[in-house]
Amino acid sequence: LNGSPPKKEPAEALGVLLAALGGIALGIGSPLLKYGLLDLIAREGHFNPFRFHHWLFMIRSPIFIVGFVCMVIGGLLGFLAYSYARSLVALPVTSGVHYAVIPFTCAIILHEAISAFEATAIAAIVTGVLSLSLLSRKR
Amino acid sequence: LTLLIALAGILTAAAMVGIGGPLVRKGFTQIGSIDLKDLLHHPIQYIRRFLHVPSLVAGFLLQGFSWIPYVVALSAAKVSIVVPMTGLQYLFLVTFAHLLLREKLTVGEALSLLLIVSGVISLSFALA
Repeated sequence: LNGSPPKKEPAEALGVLLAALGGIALGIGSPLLKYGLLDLIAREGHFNPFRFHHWLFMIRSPIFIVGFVCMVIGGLLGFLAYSYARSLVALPVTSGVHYAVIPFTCAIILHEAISAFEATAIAAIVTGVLSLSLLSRKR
Repeated sequence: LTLLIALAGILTAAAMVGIGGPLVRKGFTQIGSIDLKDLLHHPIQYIRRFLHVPSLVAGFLLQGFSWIPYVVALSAAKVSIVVPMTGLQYLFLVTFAHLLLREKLTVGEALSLLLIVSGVISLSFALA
């Protein structure tokens, strides 16, 4: 009313922070899961979720377990953030950070390189996801 | 075949997360905000409270098990391509947020969604 910008609610800021931290955890977890899968793919040719011994093989891989723990932590942080944000679409922060971080973590952990075309498409998705978040927060 | 496996994994994971999200949110509207300190002090009481809300349980299960098709997709293609393609979940999320929570989509949000979908379609060419 006095022209000053409205103060952010601490709960909402905490929700966004939790969502961003969740995104970083997911960004580290995904390439670690793939790293764990690479041994299985090298031995069996592919991963089949309906073959029990494939799961057994993976849960014996420490890197896969670390990746899985990162994914669980990321998921839980995102889950907690749901209770703080005002609107459902205010939460794409987790995914936006996840998608933005992934080319870097994949380059470090898996030595995956992406083309300029792929980088542009990823940038479009990240922009779309984060703008969806920002626009919904103005509600 | 590898391309089909990757696409099926991405679509299934995106649908599970996108439908699970509004269900979780619907559950939280019934429960209300969570006090983080209280949650850490009395986790069992909170879990019992969560288990009494069917939409929360269904949403949590859908989101929790979405990692199975996600791992299938990861095993079939490049991680840096598969992960951003799961952004397709927002198409499901916005649709189900409207159906379950009556959340309305503004023009700006629709344009953001269009940007996401165009990015995902572009990446699907890179996947091939």
